[in-house]
Amino acid sequence: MRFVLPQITVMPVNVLKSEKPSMASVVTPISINTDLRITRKQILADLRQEGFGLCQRLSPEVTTLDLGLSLGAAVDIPKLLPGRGIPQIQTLMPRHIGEVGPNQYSGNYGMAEFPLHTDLAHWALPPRYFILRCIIGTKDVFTHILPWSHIVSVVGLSTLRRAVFTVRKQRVGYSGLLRAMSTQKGFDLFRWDPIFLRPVNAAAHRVKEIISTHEWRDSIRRVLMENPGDTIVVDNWRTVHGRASVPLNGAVRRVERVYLSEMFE
Amino acid sequence: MTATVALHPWSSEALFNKTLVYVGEMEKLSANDWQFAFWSSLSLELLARAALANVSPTLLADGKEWRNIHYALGHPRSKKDFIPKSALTSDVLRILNDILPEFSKEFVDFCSLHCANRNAELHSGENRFIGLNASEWLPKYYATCEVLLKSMGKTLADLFDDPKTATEMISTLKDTAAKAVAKDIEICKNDWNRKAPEERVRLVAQATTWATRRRGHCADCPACGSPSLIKGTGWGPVSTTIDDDSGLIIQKQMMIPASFECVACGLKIAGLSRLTASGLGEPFKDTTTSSAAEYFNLHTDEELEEARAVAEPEFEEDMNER
Repeated sequence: MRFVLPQITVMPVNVLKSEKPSMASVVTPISINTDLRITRKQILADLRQEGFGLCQRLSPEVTTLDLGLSLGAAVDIPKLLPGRGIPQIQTLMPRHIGEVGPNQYSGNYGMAEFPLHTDLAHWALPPRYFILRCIIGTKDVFTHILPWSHIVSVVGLSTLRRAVFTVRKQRVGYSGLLRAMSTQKGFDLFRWDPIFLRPVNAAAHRVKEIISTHEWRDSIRRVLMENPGDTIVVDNWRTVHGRASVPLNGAVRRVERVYLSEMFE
Repeated sequence: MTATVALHPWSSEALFNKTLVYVGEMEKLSANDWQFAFWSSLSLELLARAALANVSPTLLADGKEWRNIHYALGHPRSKKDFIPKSALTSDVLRILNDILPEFSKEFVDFCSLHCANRNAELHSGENRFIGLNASEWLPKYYATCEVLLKSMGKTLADLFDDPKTATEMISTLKDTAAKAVAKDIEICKNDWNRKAPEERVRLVAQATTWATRRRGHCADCPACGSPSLIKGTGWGPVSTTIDDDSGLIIQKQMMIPASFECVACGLKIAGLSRLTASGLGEPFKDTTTSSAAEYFNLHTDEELEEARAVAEPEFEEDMNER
């Protein structure tokens, strides 16, 4: 299938800011090339190595949907969740508890730090990738990313593969049982969510206990989207992510998100 | 891979996940508790279904109603009052026996018995699991699980908290089978050696005729060396060819040994594990030759001849010139 590459305008690259300026957590941005094909290759290489890739000021004038469609196959959320009013491109903004329902992270954590999680972990097959794209940036609201390999090394692969969780809301006629680690057509899928998934068996309780109490700080990568167009592409199956707490002046932050089922080579 | 919101209850993943939950309940108990055996029986059926769904969820559908197959394919229910019905456990086991090379009749028999115990436990006043000796059924349970897991690309470690113990138990099962079959062979060998030489010659001749006249795989008896037969169950694809000269249809299929019999010394061995322990467990090829009429289940040549004979009027050949 052919797709049209949008015209790319690349702004000068800044060094990404790190919450903790230690070598372990500083994320070095890839060098941007005017050819999106090359950019895509670099993102793919970073995804394979790190579980995420980022670009600064990647075509701010191109819509997030067009950018997403040029990078991969977008997940059609309105088709998968008909009648729910969730658009294909979602705008994320800091909100207080009470402003939204408890089925969203803001409804549980408000402006506080969002815990590490997999996006749509309660789905049978969560989207493989997602793109976060800065619309209005902030100087101190970091996105936290933790590759699953760190969790595997602490919890153990066998326990993760046997850990069964259930979704909070059971759907009649469907199974609500999901494993922390499964293999989907040869690809490992790791999923975790501290509130939308509930442990069922002993292995799942062990996973919940360890992930919730272990100190991951030194292993977490901190990424800042400060300028419009700053873009993070995340492998949702091989990493967990979260958002740092939002200070008062960070309430203006606007990030757009699009889910991808695959990345074009 | 396209994101999917909900997991189909007949998917291999959903069934395996539920198996894990039931095994987890089992592992909370001691192997001597009757509930341990009860949970194992529930988990076994789910694992068998997960293995079959791993081939295709459509195999889980009760094929008598097309809507079940339609539902298994992932389509929403097509009728308001339709309740999807899956295949009976006995059918699930039968299909697995046919399509999984290692899921031999021994495993089918064990699963059938364990599931029958479960049914009696759930649907009657019987308490089948009380007093069940874990050393007798547990190694068979683990061995069955191992075969089913392997068919899904999984190992015992994917299902059990202590896969090492499970593996050890499976080894004891193999040792027990080897010892038992060695004893049977030894008894037959001693009996054979006590027979008079002329009696042995007569029995060997009888066995030679018997083994060649019946279907099966000819082998030398491990006790007396006489020609004997291994019977098996078919697995894998059936190759069908037509012999150009004779027009006969030749079908070939690999067979997994299921039983052995020697009519000379009377040795009988049943079950793949025992056959393997006595060196008779190698798969063999079975060839059948049939005419087109037989193959397509039409009338045989003899039947057609007979029918013609009946239909023809009983008068002499026309002889106008006489």
